[in-house]
Amino acid sequence: MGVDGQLARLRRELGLPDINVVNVMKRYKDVTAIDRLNLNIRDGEYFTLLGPSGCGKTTLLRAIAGLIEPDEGEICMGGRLVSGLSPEERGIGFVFQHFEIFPFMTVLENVAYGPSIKGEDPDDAEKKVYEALKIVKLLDRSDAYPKDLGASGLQRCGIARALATGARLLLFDEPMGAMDPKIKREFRYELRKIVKDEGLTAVHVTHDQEEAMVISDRIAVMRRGKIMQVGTPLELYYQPNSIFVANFIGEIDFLDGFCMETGKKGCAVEIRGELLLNTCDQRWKKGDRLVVGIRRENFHLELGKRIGRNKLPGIVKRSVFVGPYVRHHINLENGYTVAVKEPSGMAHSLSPGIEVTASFRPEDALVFEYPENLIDEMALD
Amino acid sequence: MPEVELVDVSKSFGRVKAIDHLSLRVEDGEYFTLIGPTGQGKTTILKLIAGLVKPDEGEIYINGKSVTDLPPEDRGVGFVFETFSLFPHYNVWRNTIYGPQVRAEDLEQSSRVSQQLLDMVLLGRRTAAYPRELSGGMMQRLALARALATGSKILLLDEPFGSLDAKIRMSLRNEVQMMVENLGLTAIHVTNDTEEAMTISDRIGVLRRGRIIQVGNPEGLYKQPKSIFTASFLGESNFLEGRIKEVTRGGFLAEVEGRKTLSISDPGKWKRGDRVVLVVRAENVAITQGKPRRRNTMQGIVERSQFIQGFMRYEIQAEEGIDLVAWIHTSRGESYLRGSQVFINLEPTNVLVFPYPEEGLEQAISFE
Repeated sequence: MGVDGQLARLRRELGLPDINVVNVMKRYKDVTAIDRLNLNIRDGEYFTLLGPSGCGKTTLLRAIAGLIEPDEGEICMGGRLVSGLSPEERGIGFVFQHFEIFPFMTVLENVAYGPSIKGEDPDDAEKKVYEALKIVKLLDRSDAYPKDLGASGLQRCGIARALATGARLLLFDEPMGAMDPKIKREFRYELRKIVKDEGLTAVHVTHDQEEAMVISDRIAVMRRGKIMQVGTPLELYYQPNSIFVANFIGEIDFLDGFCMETGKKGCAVEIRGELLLNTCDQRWKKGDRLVVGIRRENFHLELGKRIGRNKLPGIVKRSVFVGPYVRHHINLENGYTVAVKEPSGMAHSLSPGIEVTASFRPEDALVFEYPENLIDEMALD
Repeated sequence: MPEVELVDVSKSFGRVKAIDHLSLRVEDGEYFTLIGPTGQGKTTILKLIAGLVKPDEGEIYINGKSVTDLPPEDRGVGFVFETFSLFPHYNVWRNTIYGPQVRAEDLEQSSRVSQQLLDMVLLGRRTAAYPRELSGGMMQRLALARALATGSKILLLDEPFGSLDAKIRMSLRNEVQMMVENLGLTAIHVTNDTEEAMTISDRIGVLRRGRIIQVGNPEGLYKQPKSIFTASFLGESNFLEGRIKEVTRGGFLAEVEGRKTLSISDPGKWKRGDRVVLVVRAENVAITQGKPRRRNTMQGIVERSQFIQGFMRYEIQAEEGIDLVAWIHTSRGESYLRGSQVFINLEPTNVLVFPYPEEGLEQAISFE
């Protein structure tokens, strides 16, 4: 282990960030792909960049990789500035959605290609290739050709090649984009396990919220070239810092109104139709204009019209059976629409036109300040 | 009456039989979805309907007329394929308005429709951009707007939301479904996202190895799968190998994995000694801290616990080496950490029973 290795260990022990993105800006003509962005990724972390298409996540990944140079700002890795360094010099392995695997080479030859072009000692190279194939569980398929591997096998081959070059930082650009959902579900556990077991650092780009939630230690939610929030999957789900993040991850409905009461337990919000919603949020004062978000699985459904706090009476528009759950779309009396997700085993059987009441617990209300432009805040681009 | 019908259609590519004597009828105004693993013929079916591929055998009808020998442009079909085939040298606007323009439609009208469609796919502000300046998801949305702008009565959609995030996917699929409904279009949609298929479709066809193995409405397919494959493709399920041990009044007892006895209520005519596969949906595996006084209870340890938006997904190692996956709705409050001791209960009516497949269980649910 050289100086770099010792530094890495020290950083890990001290919990220092391994990758620092400082004030990075990248423009393409009139479009700002990344807008003065700052980000720390820790050593040994499985970190995901999540956001709608066109939000700049791939551009950011490419800047970290050294495939593009930012117009402004700096990127540091392991405490040193990497501007102007190639991906190889940065010690990075890159795995794309569309596997950059040579079809005319066997798995072994593909994996050995990395170290051999680096001109390593053949014995060392062989050992590294063997180790890499072992890690991705392809040792017994080393003589197979890529066409016989299947989507997850190809990606494992790509990872092995990156590992064989000695990369400690893996960058994944939609690595499961071309996979069937079932295979994806298996592969994401494998991928995380490889990264964690080997003590690697991973930066993963995806547009798939579920994938991000399951695979990551932390996630950065991006929008329009900026980072909206960084947090663990549960933090993002239960403590979103903005309407955009709350809306982007999971299913949610929003109601807006004014803060009417404040108390020790939280505030009550009056929405259209003189309905009062109790929340556990204490940050607001009387008269504040607020937006209340309720996750669709947190609604509780009753038949008939009920009156009272946190009760939203309405009429069933339609119910859609989606397998593990049923989604009921409800037109509320006050003009809003909400949807309620019920587990299908215990779901109400409702025909359109039936009167129901959706209610929720105060602790399940997510409260936000009413933004300047609510429609724009909720837009998905 | 734009209904679409394939009669006994086969198509091979080299030695690979992509479509194998397939017949299918999609009704006028229907939203029909084809699901199945990658590489098993879904896209080929769309290409056959579009006229981009000619069948080796069989006939294709649109509106009751054979179109088997008609070129794509004479079939009145709009399509969105995964590889978008956008015009690289045209900007977003010209790509969208191209179809209406070549048909010399009223320019004002088609401009208005094109703008609406671009707004719908969230590209209303990017009309001057060229395809190379768009991300993959944006190109996909543009391809969708372009297909809708052609005004075709039949819409073929091949993974039209594939590279979009779940949120945009949800909102676009609702809009497309509403548009199909309001304009009286017939849509044939290919996807491997089963939630998407369940949400938007009137009917779903499950495709495997070039054949349609089951057609039905979403709830019917999910609740009464005719094969282990259909059960495994929709949702997440547990598959337990077993034998019928005893026929009882309300059903029978099955011995699972050679040891554990489970009580099953199933209308099937099973005999003692029959080799079977029991299928239990992950959301039908109940977990409790205390021991429930019910049949089909097992002890287990949580091996992995994951949060999946509204659900907790648990992998549990139960007694006798039985591994089970359970999906528990988070609104039920309780959650279990890795290593927790729990009790599992399987409701006898929630167990689906299939004969043990000749090809073996693994082959029967394989995606190959």
